[in-house]
Amino acid sequence: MKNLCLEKIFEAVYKKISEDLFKFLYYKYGPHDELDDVVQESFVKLWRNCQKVQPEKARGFLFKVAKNIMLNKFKHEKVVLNYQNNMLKNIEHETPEYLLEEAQFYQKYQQALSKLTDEQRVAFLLNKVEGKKHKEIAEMLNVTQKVVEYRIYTAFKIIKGEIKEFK
Amino acid sequence: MDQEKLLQKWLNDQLTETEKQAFEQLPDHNLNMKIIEAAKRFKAPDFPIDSKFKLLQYRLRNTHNKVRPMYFAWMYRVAAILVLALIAYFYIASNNVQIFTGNNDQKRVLLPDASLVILNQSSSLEYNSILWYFKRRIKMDGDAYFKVQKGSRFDVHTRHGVVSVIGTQFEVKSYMQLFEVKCFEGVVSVQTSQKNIILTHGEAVVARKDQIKKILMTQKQPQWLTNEIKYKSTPLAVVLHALKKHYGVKIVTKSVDTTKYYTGSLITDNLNLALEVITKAFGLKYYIDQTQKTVIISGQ
Repeated sequence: MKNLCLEKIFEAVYKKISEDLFKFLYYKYGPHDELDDVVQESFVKLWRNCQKVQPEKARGFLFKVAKNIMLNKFKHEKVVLNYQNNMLKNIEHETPEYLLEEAQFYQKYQQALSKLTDEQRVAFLLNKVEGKKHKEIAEMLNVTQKVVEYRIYTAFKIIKGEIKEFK
Repeated sequence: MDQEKLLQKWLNDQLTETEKQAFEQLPDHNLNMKIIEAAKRFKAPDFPIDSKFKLLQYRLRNTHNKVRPMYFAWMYRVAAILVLALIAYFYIASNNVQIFTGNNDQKRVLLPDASLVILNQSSSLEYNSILWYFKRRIKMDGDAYFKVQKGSRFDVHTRHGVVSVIGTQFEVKSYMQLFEVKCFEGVVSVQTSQKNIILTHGEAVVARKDQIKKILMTQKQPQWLTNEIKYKSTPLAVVLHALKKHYGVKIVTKSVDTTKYYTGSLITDNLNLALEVITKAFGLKYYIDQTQKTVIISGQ
């Protein structure tokens, strides 16, 4: 019988879900120092309830618990995601005008991402950055695949609109 | 196919080859590509699963450890209570007092609360000198006279039942076939498997073969306590020694074999009578020298 109280099963569930949960929390709530801890805390709670939770229900349980922890711990503020400025490496080969334009572009992009709803941002970034399939995202968020596709599409449109305005 | 449809299909990775070519011809194709490309810059930090799992294991073990000391503390507590209970049990058990009297033997037993028991011959009693302070409870078999100090209930457990009193004087005889309780002072409750009888002073119950009768009596103390001491095959020397002590007299014997065995009683409230009973048994003569307080016993 499969049981989360067995360490092997629990470990498998952790390795399968922990990263997804972390990414989900990051894209939904933005960078917080405590996100790792929220993930761990959710799993601690899962371990304590290993008798009651079926392994196939673990994902839903973890996401719900993590969202509750976030709700209780943090005020939901505007999400500003950080971006990597690895352009700086090639700084000598680029013109100052180009670099300035790039910096402005990413700032604008950052603002655009902040303007998305949580749902749009999560779906868009999980798909385009993390390479998650629509089906996987649908499972993670407990919505249909069509909803995921629509969220990605609207997210893209909003970002594009913001960028175009800047151009 | 319109631009929006193409865009949607592109976002869903569902473009066919021809659609792909059409999509690439779109005027803002570069911007589309750049938006997707730029998104990757906003990638979430890595989540190192393996090391994080080790941390979680450590954390779970630590929470276990937080529980464990309490669990052990609880075990220690139980163990300590058990040890204390065992010590208390052995301490109390070691304070069990058993007293037996042989043939022709009587013993005065002073109980911890200064109640007095006089145990007649061939009897036994048992009590615990520690538990006594919580409950005055004594087990006896045979014949005993009790002078109970006032206080809590005083229970005498016999094979026939329980005799309970508060503060009084009473005698209990409890043998195989005989059960007798005489109350000399105060109130005594006699509880057998069949009946509960209350006795006041001057009353007695006698039970023989399942018949329990309440009777009145005239005596003020058990007969054996005052009138006589019974002897059974006891060397005459021992009996005479008891007589000497009891009456405070000197005894001189002339041609008397004091190694002979005596069976009978030593009357304790009349010297003349006592001497008469003893000398008759051996065919001896006696003379009391009142001035010297000396008794002379001689053979034929």
